[in-house]
Amino acid sequence: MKRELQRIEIPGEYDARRRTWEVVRAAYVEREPVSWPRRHARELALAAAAVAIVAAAVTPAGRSVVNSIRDAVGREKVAGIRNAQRELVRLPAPGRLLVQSRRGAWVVQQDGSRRRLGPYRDAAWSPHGRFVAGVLNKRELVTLEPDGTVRWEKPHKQRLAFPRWSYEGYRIAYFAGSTLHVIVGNGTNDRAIGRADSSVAPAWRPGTHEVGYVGTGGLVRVVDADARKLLWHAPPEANGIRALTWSDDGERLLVLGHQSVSVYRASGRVVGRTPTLALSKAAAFAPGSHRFALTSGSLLLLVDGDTLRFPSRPLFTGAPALGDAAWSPNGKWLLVAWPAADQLVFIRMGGTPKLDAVSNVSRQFLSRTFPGIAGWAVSIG
Amino acid sequence: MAERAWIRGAQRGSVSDLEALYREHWSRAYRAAYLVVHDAAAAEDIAQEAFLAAVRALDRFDRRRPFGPWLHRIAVNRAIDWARAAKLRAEAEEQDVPAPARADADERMLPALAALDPDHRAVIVLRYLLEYTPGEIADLLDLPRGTVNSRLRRGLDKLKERLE
Repeated sequence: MKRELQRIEIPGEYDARRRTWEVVRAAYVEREPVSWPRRHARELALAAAAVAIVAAAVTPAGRSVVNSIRDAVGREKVAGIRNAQRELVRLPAPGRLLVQSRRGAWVVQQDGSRRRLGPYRDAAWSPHGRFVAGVLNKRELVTLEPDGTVRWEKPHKQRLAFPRWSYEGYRIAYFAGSTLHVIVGNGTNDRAIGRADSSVAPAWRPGTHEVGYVGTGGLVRVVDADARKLLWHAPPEANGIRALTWSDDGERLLVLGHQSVSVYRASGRVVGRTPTLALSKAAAFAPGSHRFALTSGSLLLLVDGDTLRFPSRPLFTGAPALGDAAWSPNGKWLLVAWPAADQLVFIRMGGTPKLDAVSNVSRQFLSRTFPGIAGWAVSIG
Repeated sequence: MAERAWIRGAQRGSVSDLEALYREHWSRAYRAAYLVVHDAAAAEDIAQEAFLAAVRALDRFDRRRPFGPWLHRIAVNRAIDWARAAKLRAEAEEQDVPAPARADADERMLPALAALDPDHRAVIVLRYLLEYTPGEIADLLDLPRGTVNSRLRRGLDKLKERLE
């Protein structure tokens, strides 16, 4: 019986194992570690109480003993930026934020008001923030307006992930199972493009219908989605790929590996490759520029995408690790997530440096885990 | 024991130790969930949820306890809940769920298993795939031992009928 049960072949087992590991590892890396004293707080508290009673009985300085033990029962906690606001009351630059929490997708207006769109996953802005695409119940592709009104929905037999709009909103790329699909922006003419690694979101090259994605074997593939023609491909990154992103002029493709960064020209020629010392989380090109913000371990770095020269000093440091990064549409502010401190940090770029921070972020998005930043789009209407 | 070292390492922040735990336990948790729910995507979700629960509870986990039964308890109980809900949905919609592509070896076993109640499937999977004793299964599922034994007996009888 055991042999029979073990021999049953489960479709997609290998991919499921890999996808799940990505999620588990991310959750592990982002968790707030509990120190040994906190893990054993109960035992320590009992021991402290016992020692205190004894100390009080035998010495007049009993109270100071209690205090010193109480200090030892501390916990590791990242304080974050001290003067952070406790509520997200306004965004420092025009535009709207799309936030993805475990409770669904949220739109944050510039005045700080938040609206939960619904239990959508993998949400993404359309160009200019007119619409949002997301996945409902894992198997429905949905597009909706920023007020939550559904435009269209398309059920699918397979598990869906990462709908992403082309530059003008006429195409949406998404994954169904392990296949990249492209559908017209009004929900018609769905076409399969090719086998893909569905753990990495596809990335449209601005100004074109060329889409980059990670294919089988970890190869980065750039295809003409309308002609379904491979334009070029690039080799896998040594430790796997975390994200793909284009500069907004469509001239640079950044391949963010878990511990490496590679930049390619639109033709597929490599500009440069470099390892990163820590695990990288996110990268985002500055609007109108080939410079990109990179969060790697606890560092936020601003890197020149034409030379891949790393700066001598980070823009910001947040231990143990920083998360997502997004530029304001006008490029004047950079938003970085600091999950361990439960803070969003807004950094003014250019001019006088300035930091604005907001704390209690998870609670504001009704989540026990830190939410993701899905994008900062211009405000329309 | 390696598992204790992995748990200790993972509690101290070692991704490689967490990965070792994952490699050791994921396949069996996923397979157990799949054999109860008969849906690969649902089994993936269930195994993922079980591991995320493990990550959340990692710092409080008592290293003297074995990790496997703790993980399997979460995975199999969620799989039973899912399978019960799916059964109700199927009855309400009166639809046949298309069978997944199968290899030769499981051509008979998988449909035979699918014909059982989720509760019977779960005890058979726990007993014969994960090799727990009836007493351990009773602990994992919070059931009296007699109930586990009767479910095992009935499940095996039905399986035998279908496989003959």
